[in-house]
Amino acid sequence: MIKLRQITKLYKPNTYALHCVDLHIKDKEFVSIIGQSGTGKTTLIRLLTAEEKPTKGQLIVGGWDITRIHRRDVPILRRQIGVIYQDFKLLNQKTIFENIAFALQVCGTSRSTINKVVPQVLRIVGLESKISRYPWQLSGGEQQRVGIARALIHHPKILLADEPTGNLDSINTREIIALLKKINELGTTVMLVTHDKDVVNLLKKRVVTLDQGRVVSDQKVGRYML
Amino acid sequence: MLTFFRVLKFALQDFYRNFWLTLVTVSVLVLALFSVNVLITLKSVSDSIIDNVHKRVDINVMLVSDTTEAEVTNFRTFVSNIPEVAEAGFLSKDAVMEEFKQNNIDNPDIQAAIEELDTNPFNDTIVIKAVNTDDYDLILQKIIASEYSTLIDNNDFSDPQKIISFVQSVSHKVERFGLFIACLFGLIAFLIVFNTIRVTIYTHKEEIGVMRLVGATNWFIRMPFILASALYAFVSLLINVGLIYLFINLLSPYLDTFLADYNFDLAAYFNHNFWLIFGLEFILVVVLTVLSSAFAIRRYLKV
Repeated sequence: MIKLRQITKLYKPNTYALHCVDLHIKDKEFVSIIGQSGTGKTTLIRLLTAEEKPTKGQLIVGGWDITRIHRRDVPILRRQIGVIYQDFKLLNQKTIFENIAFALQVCGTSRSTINKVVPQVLRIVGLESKISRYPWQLSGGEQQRVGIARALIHHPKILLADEPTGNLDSINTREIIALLKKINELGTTVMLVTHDKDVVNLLKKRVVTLDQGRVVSDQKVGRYML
Repeated sequence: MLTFFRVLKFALQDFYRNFWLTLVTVSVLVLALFSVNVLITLKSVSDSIIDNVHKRVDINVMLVSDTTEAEVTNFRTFVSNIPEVAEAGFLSKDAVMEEFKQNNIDNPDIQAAIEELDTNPFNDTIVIKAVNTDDYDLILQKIIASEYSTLIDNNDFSDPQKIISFVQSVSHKVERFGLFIACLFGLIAFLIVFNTIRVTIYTHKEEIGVMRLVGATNWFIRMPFILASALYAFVSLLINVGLIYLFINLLSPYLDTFLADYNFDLAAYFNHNFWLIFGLEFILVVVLTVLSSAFAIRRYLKV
């Protein structure tokens, strides 16, 4: 599903965020990318969403070489990759329904489809009863679930989670991780970027460790070892 | 079509959610357009005056007192045949006297002086109208160089020519100054629209980020800003049309008095050229605002 071949990202003049990274993530896999701050985890997400281009190497997502992706094709790629962030990135002036509907509106989906699909996806994340609330009326865990619902709205093949539990307490963290596992079981490839030791140990899934932009460990059923 | 309406909806939201920014932008655009229209008004008034003065300019060539009827006829034929001459009329000395009396009917001194005279001091006169007012000098030169130069007592066409020169000079100065003001407002409008779009992009930073995140196309992200700037142009033009007609209504009584002899109607001028004036202004202001917002988007909106 995701293939990185000798991926290097150099920030001028001489800072390597990623250095000759080789990584292969299979379809429907759940992979945790761990490492301390500044080891290139977020850069990896930015490369996968085509927010940045690698300095060297080849990056393939779903059979699509995005190393040389044309600007007009970037939105198409992003509809195939759901992304959730630590700060949720919800629009506070919009209700939960509107936040999720917005993702469909900007892609030209009809109103009738939006009215049908949004409640369905909210049901998956367990927030159908809070459809008319605003983000600031929800807890952190609930806000992240809205973020997940929005990320799932285009039925992506890949879900990238960039420190999704960074702002949450332990109970909410467990709920979010359980939800990500459920999404993975339903057939979506999940790549979780985190430095939360408990989360990684709880998952008992593949763990890739980055250090100074290089892959230093790749365990099939890993534990947090830094 | 659905996407277009959504883009339009977002553009309208940008327009009314940033009320103060919109107000400032539209005000500057209105000022720029208004200055252009004042320029058009001044130009039309001065054109009308010049046109009317042109029609009234002529050369009165007074003939020597002993000119015979045959000589007058030959001279008129000669003058009529000069290509630059539109018309060569004849005024007998009695007609000249009568015209002089009429022109000075309000001046009792002149009227009394005329009464004192035993003989008519005027002579027969040839009244020459040129095709082009710039040619009067040339016509005079041709007459003076001809065999009929001995028939000429004196000629007078300097006063209307002075008026034309004066009006043309003022008109050119006003045009240049007006153009400068219009360009200045245009530049200010460009910068204001640029800044408005920049601030709007900044205030929509989160929304734009989410649009990018969920795969909105570049066109969808950028178009609302372009449409919002076109809306600024449209609204400012509408306000400007209202302002101009208010201005005409306020100005007309003074203008009518001032231009009583010139048969000029400013409202009729704007009515007659409505689509030409305001259509062109709309195109100009849309180009200005859209270009400006395109620059701002290119500079500040990374998609």
